[in-house]
Amino acid sequence: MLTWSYHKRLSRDIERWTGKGWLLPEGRAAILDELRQQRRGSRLPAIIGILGAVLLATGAMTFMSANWQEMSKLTRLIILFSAMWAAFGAAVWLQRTAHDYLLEAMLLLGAGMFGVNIMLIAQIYHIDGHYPDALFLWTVGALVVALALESRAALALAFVLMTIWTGAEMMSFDVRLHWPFVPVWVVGAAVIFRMKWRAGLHLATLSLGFWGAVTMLQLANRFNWTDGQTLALMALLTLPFFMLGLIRDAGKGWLMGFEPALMRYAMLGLLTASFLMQTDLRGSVRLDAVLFSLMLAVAALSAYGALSAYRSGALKEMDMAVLLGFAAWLILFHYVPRGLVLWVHAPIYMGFAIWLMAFAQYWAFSVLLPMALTAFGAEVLYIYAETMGSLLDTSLFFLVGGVLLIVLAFGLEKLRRALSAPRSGGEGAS
Amino acid sequence: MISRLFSGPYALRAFIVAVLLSAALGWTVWDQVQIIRHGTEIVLKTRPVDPRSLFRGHYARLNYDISRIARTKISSGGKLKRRARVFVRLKPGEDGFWQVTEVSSARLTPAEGSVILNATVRSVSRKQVWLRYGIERYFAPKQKALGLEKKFRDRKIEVGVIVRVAKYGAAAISGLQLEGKKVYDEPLF
Repeated sequence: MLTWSYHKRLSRDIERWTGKGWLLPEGRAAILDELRQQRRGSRLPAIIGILGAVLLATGAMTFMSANWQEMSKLTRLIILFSAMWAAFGAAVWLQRTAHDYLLEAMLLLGAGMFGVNIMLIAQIYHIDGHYPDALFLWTVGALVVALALESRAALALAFVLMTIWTGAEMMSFDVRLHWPFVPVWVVGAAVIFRMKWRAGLHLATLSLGFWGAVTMLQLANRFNWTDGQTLALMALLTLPFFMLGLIRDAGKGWLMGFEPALMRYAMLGLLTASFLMQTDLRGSVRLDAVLFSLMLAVAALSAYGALSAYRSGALKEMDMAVLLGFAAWLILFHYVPRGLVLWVHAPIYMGFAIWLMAFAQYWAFSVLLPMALTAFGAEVLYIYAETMGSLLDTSLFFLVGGVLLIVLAFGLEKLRRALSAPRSGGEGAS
Repeated sequence: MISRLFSGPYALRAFIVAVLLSAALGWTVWDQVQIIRHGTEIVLKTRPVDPRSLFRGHYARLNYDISRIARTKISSGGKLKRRARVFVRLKPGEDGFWQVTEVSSARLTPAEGSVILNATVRSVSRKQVWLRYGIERYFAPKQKALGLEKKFRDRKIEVGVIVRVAKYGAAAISGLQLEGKKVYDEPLF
């Protein structure tokens, strides 16, 4: 099946090849036509069907909520159970008659009706329990549907539900370390691998990232870490995932081609967190023993990952030195005198962004390039705001800022064009 | 059954999935029906807070007198944390509403003339503990929920919630009482 990004890239390349005369207009038309057919033929009915299933489940919920007096409890229960059974029955019929495009929609409807039934049975019997428990039960139900009937839509629902479940436990009920999420997530990830569903790994990564970020915030609250310290730990934690993506990419491993995306998520987290940590107005505050040990352990894990990546040929000595140097900086940052934080952090951060541009270019990880350019540009603007904002009045600030943005955009585009100039080597990212 | 869940024919797998999900839901229904059918009946005095529910119709949020308890009534495990499980002994009061006589973090021994309710600590202050019993919402059609809410707010009449308590401490709402008279009996089905 074609991905949207591949389709876009191929369409662009076809235009370029036609322009250079490598592809005849007839060939161009035939290829574009086939691309359109494949996209239209494979996805649209399924997507519309899934949207229909979402509407049906929502409609069932509001219908039952709105029809209290008209129905007895028994009638309501019979309707609720029948609707769920009907969805699974329809799925079996669709599977037998090879109407696969609607199969996912019916399985999603079945899993959705399970959740609707949980809520409406609670309503029928006036149950006011701990509501994340209902989300957990719904997650388990969606996972059972996904595992037994190989449904991607139900699996996607399970990841959304488990994320809301853990978020509710941690944010609404103040659970600091919500460990039960981990085994549930592992089961979900195992189902993704069983189904060989690479796109599902995006959901799994986002779900785990959300859990990790909220857990960090909860720990920060418990141990009185500053925002800068918490962000530095978050930034550091992304490094082992970046290394994992590198190693597997070099070894063509079991991540089913998800490695570049994993690296992209990890680098996005690293650049964002390490950028934000300098904005902590309290500046550098020395690390306590728990945080120092934790950061050291993560740095050691990153070093091990970097070494493995180096041995597998995915990193050069220079790359390894920069990555580990930046990891060390995330720890040392907290020992720099407060007034010097910006002046030490800014060149290191910008230097790291420049290295990332070179790294992206050398290894043909084109998706990392705009990320590095954005990080560099953001840091320039941050320095400008920090140093000039206090000296000029507001209107001048915005005028100069506007001119600077335009100049920066021009400069960055020139740089991007220079770096994106055709070179030998394959595309590393998907 | 488990191995068939992964490797059997598609129709059989779908059937097993539907049975498993129905069993999970059916167990909840069965549990509630058993409590309402065989539980000990008690009446709790209540006050209301906003009715609101986006997806589940309208409800009146019930704030029982037994939801807020003085710390002096806590017989053991004085250091109660949020979300901790506690056991609450209730006995009938002179006004007909059941009152808290004892709260403990350790399991209480059943005694004649009393019931033991399971509860979770919602919040703790220096003098009081707020508990929840899982029966704090009364779902009703919009007009009925709003009417109840108005009566509660006016405080012109005394409202009681009839609750059934299972031997293992779970509770379920089985009816409503206005000024000492049962005005609504929850049907089992």
